[in-house]
Amino acid sequence: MAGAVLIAVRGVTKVYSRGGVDIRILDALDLDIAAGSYTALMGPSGSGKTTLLNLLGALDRPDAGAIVVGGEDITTFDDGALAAWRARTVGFIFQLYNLLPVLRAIDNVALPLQLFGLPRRERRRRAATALDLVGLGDRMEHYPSELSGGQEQRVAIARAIVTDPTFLLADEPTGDLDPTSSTGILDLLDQLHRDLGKTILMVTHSHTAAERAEQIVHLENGRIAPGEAA
Amino acid sequence: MIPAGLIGAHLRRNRLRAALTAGSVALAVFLFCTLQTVITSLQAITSGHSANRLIASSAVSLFQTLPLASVERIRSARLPDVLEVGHWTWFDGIFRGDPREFFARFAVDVRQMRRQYGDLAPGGGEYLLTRAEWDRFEQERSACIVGRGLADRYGLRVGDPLVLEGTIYPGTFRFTIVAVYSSGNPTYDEETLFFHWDYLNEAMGRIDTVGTMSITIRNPYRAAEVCLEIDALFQNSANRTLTQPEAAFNAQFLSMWGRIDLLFAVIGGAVVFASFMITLNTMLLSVKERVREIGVLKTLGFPNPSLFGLYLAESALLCGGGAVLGLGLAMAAFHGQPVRLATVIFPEFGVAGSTQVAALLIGALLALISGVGPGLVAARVPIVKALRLV
Ligand SMILES: Nc1ncnc2c1ncn2[C@@H]1O[C@H](COP(=O)(O)OP(=O)(O)OP(=O)(O)O)[C@@H](O)[C@H]1O
Ligand SMILES: [Mg+2]
Repeated sequence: MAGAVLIAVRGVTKVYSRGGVDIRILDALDLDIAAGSYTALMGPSGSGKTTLLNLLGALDRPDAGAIVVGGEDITTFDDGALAAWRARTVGFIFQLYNLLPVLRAIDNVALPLQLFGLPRRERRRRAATALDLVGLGDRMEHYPSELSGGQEQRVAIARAIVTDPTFLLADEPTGDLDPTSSTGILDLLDQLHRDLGKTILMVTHSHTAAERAEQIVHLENGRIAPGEAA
Repeated sequence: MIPAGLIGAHLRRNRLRAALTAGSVALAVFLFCTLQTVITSLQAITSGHSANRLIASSAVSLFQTLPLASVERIRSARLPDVLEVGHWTWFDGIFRGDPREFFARFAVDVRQMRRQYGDLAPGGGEYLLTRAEWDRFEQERSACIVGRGLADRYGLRVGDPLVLEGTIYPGTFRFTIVAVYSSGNPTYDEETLFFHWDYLNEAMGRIDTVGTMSITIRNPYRAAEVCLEIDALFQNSANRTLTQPEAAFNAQFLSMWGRIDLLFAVIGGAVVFASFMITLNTMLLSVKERVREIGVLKTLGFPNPSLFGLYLAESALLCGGGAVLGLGLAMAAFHGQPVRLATVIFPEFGVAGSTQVAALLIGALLALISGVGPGLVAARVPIVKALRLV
């Protein structure tokens, strides 16, 4: 099922200094993600999973190493180019949804489409389609505070896919949800992967969740544990 | 590119805060306009004077009278530049038994007044009455004239009797209103009562004193020299004079208000500064509250400059809206009608063009300084940091 390498992580190092001491959270890490794959990233708390995801999504920059996506090393981009690249390439799904509380569900979903110069009507039309896809066609005009956690996460997923990005990064997407809602969200991710062919990288602590993925990789001591990388 | 719809959404969800912030700017701008209007109106009062007239008053103080003989002294000196010499005497008095019913009352040499300020003045004069009205005023000893504003305020009409109780000059003074004058020049108000100095002087048993002398000169460019020439006439007398151009005299009269322009400028500045701190505080607070939103917007791909623009635009909307509102209120409140403030009457109390421009500039400046800081914070904060904070 996995195709050509979409994301190639080479020798990526991330160092945080705390109290004058440098800690290598990621230490010359290598990882390949194939186009169309669904990968679960696991590891102990504080092992650097979020840090790695942030680097892959260009929310942060590594201290060393290269991150090559579709043949381009994004670590060489400037801030403006990275912002444009993020808008085109990555869909983010966070544990705490990160919807904008002042916007209705449909406006939250339509927000990133502004970066594509689409007219308002078209933005709303596409946002409505995405909300239909995640099963929230009847909650479009609700504010986030009027939705359940599971519904908020569905809105967040709709926002992540509405721009048709190359890959999705999900950081503990079910970490804050009850089992029923979690199952719903995982089913939705399955569907995005299976039906729409989305490349997904999901951080999770839950084995149930991880088993939905095609492969599981473990982050330990700043690297991908040997023998388990795809 | 600024994220569309977001500013409106925030203002809608935080209506009270938006209203309070814009309201503080509106209030500051309104106060600024009010104070500024007082200043410009004061300036207008002193700027429209005839450059051909000098006022001589006692060198001791404005409230010290001069002997009538001083008038004759100037006339008889036959200074080549002096054309006319008249005199005005401040009559305080009480109207309708109430000291608060205050307006200016002057005893004048009506004949001279006509020649200097009336129908016989070259170029028409400032106080407008028909020839017949002037004739009647001049001929009837107990006649008085009142300004149109005064007549409107108290419902006074030609033919009405008018009584003043003297204060400086004791006694009861009964007049008949023979005409209502209007003013051909905003510097000269329509809120004054004029009557015959002779009438006052006789009632006082011919004390023969006058308040100030009004001197019409031939050539305004010689005003400074003529002032010195006149004062020189009284150099060694017991009643030395201080002679100055009418505009300067009036400015001195108004300066009884102290350095009001400076005071008002300081107050206005302080008010604007206070509203600046309020707006800046609001904007910084909202950046802090919305740091997660900033992180999300950046995550979605909105570039740093658009975050800067977002906060600048929001501040521009609040401050600009507030400034326009404050200016609008001021212009609605002061649209050029006469206003009386303590002892000064502003014939045309309206927000000057320069004040309007200044008010809008203040709005723009407030928007800029309270928007740039938060905008920079929003543009610069690293995404991961913004997303971590709650
Ligand atoms: N800005 C920072 N400054 C200093 N240390 C940081 C910073 N961000 C993260 N860290 C540290 O880096 C380590 C890895 O953090 P990260 O969030 O990537 O872990 P994680 O694997 O996602 O953990 P969890 O499963 O609990 O979410 C942690 O020890 C964390 O304290
Ligand atoms: Mg994490």
